[in-house]
Amino acid sequence: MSVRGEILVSTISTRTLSQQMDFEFRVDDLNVHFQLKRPFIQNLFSRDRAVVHAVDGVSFTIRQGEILGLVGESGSGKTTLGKSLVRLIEPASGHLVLNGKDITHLGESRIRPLRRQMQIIFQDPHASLNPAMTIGQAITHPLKIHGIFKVKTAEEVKSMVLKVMREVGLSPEDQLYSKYPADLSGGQKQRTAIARALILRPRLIVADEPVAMLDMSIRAKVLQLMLDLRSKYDLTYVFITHDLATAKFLCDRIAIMYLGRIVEIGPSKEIFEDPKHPYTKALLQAIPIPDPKKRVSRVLPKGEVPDAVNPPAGCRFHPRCLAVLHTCGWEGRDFIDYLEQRRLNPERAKEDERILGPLDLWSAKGSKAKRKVRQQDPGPILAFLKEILGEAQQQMAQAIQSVSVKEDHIVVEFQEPEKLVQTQVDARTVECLLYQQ
Amino acid sequence: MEPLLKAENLSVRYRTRRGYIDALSKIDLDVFNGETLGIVGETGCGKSTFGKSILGVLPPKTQVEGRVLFKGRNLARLTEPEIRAIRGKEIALIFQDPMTRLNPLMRVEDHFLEEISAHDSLSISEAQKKAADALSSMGIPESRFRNYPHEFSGGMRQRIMIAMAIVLQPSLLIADEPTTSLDVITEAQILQILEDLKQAHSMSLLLITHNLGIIAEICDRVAVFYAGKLVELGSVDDIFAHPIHPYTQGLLASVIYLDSRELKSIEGFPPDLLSPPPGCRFHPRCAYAQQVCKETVPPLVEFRPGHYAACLFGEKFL
Amino acid sequence: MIGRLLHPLIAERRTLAGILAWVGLGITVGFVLIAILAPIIAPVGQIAAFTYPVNQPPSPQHLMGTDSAGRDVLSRAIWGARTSLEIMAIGVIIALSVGFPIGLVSGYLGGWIDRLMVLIMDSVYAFPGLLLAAIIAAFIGKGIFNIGVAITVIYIPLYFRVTRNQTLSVKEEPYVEAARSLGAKPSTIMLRYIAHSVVIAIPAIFSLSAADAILTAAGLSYLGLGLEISTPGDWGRDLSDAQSFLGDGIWWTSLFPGLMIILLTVGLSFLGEGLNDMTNPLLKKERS
Repeated sequence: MSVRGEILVSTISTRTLSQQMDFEFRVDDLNVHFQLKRPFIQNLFSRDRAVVHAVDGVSFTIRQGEILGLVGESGSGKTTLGKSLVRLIEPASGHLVLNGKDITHLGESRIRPLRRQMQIIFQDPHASLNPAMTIGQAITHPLKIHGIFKVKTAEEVKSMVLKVMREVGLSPEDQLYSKYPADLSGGQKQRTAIARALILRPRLIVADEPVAMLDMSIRAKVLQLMLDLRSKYDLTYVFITHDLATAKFLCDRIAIMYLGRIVEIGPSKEIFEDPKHPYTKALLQAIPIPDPKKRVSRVLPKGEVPDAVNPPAGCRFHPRCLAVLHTCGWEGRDFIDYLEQRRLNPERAKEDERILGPLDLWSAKGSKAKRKVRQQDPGPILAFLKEILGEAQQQMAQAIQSVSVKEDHIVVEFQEPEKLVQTQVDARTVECLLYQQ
Repeated sequence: MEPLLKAENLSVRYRTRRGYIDALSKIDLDVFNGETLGIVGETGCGKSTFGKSILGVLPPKTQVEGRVLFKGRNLARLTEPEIRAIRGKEIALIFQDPMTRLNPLMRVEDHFLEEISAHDSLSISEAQKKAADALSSMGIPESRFRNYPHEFSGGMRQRIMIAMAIVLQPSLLIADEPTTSLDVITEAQILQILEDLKQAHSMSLLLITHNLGIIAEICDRVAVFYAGKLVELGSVDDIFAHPIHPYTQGLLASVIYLDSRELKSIEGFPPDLLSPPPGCRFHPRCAYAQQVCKETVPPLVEFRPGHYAACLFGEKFL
Repeated sequence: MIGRLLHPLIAERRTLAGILAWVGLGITVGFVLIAILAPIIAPVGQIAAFTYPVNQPPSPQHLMGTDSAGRDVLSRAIWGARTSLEIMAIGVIIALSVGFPIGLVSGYLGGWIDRLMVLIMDSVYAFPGLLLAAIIAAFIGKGIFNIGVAITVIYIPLYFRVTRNQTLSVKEEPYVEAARSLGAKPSTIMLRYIAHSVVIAIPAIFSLSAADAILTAAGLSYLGLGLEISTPGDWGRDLSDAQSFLGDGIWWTSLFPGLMIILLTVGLSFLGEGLNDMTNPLLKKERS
């Protein structure tokens, strides 16, 4: 029996929806793009349109009552995905299907009634509350927007608000009701944000790093509150975080995101016990453990999350992956990075420079890396290249199709990568060539 | 053994429009040669203030009492030129946001040249070599030396800042939340770098953070701050395995880690430092508080060799 | 809202910005009082010509002397305050009432509307103010109200710009996003979530544009454009009339109107600058 209590005035259809149907939210091949702002001149001269594929082909289904974690680092697209779920950001393509209804491109006035079903809590408690509204006004406002004052008196509404404040632990509620956000602590502000989201009795709450900016000693209380509310109100959460430990504790299922794609998704327990994707493994390994007796030597992937405007080819994690294969997506850029890395050693740098020339003579385009040779005899360069490829990472060397001279360029060309397919492995879905046989 | 850095009875009060904020109150703390001392605490505990007060980078109209001795000299009494000579060369400071230290209009290499020439009189080529060594050791290739800070990623900027901090081989590096804004993997990389640096240069590291995980990772000793007071100090093993002060106990219990079975937290929230609670500043939130805790400021007592706590009932928790 | 403004005024009364603001406020209030009380404190001598002997130097009966038309300079100076403040009020208030909403809507909605408005406003802004006002005054004729309207046009772009800039920066704040996620309509968001932040910036701009308006109005009168000769007080015109007599050593008919202009302008500027310095940190704090 759902504890739905007071249902506000609304169209009959949405009312029936929230009372009768089970909740299901399907995401289908979702793409969210951002246009990068660049100086006008730069746009004139460069051929690639600077578009960030923040979310690049993501599909999953959110089931009623679960807590689904979206886990990833910066640039993973998790926050963008979260915001697109509640239509704060317009997807470029793909589908968002809420209880069978495609809401991807619904206009603002048609989405508005549906917003009652899905709410969002933001990361920064200090910035997500209107400084000019009291706590009471802030929590009343969603009710006001959806027309509550047409069916209830001001006193009735106030008591609804006070009740919700009590529920989220904002006490003494009569006093806090007329205070401004500036007078509250971080934890209290976040509770206010939760109350504001909750008062509409949504089915889904997207929580974007809700405790990341709170002190550790009060995080647990806010998380516990969220769990209690879930049981009480039959809520479904999408929990966005970069903190794997919290995700493990809280989430039923998790989706690990990297550069706009989901690389592993499945039951939280299985993934933590036996991570399949190399990125998931790397993340788990990297977490510092608050126990000095458990210091481990870590094997970390090199480099950082790359630029999202031009993500790596094939599997986006391949340049950093410790289990990389030769089919994972090696391309011209990787070769140039290799040349750059060699020059960290001053002796090698001298010889490299002498034979291969300064690095800015080399350019990468797609699967090729090339360099112009003018009067020079390409012979020694080709020979040197073959020699240094012997010293390079084996998988990258294996991926090279040819090292040759074409017109007046030396060209190092890589093979086409193998296409990635979402694969079912041990109760979860992984996107990795290691599991595609 | 003489400590490298010794804070004696250090108190810092900020002047704000609403009155004086008691940010640090009578801190006694030592940093020894070659050790990594972690300072951990939450919002408003004063850990950042402590780091800044060592180098005198506090806002104007801040009251400072007590002494901070570095290699025997009282930093609080030095003139501005004398402190500038020490900053960078003997004590270096890195922050959470590298962009506070990097000039967006200056190329990376020039940052180094400027830093080096402020302290050493080397020729340009010698200075360039030093810069190149420092940058390469951070994994930054020479082809990028002439780039501007904004052309690097966050993690690389942090490395550049670290490289700048250690290029003159200071004896003490103060790192204030160096990895807080970084991703988990980048954070682990930076921590490894800091560890290696410590070994290579036999440098002392004062690591200020709220993250207990990284304290456990790389620190030798840890100091716990709460509401401007030092409440516990000891080796990292002692503090994690046998915490004495109730705040430390609560803090450790509230950390969520991979094997957490339940969620624990401390009631209430940190006090307003405009008028902190009398006696022990933690008493309003302490499950064990007695009347005497409201009246007496607990002194820092050595309950075990090398393990100090400021709790009147510390005995009970041994 | 008013409380938010009063608070820094009182809290910062000892800082340089605070002192500046209080001095400015004092001067401005002084002038406002003079303007309101003009009929009481200077009942005669400001319009009717030849009430008094012509061009008399300052004396106990005429503290500021008399002018070439036999009027009491002090009376005209007092009534001039009334005229100036009326023009200023009309001009600045209309500019605010037009510039503020357009800036808010334009900044929030963005797109082609915004680009069009920015184009229009920037063009008007680029025009030399006095010249533009003069042209408009030439078209719509004389009178206090008309001059007020003429000046308005110069200041609309200023309010537009300030409002739009604040709107643009506040638009991206998480609490505005939160409002959208709750389903708030754009009008609600603009009024309840963005407007308050903009309003804090207004008083400073108001004072500064008011100071400018006084000067512009005086300039127009000086040039002989704008007000009828029968206006009871007109600093600019008085200055203009007094010019030809300077050579004869008649200094009081130039000095006093000039002083009044300077004093009121300075008072408003001080108030504006002081408020500006005080509200800037508020604006920054609002965002953090």
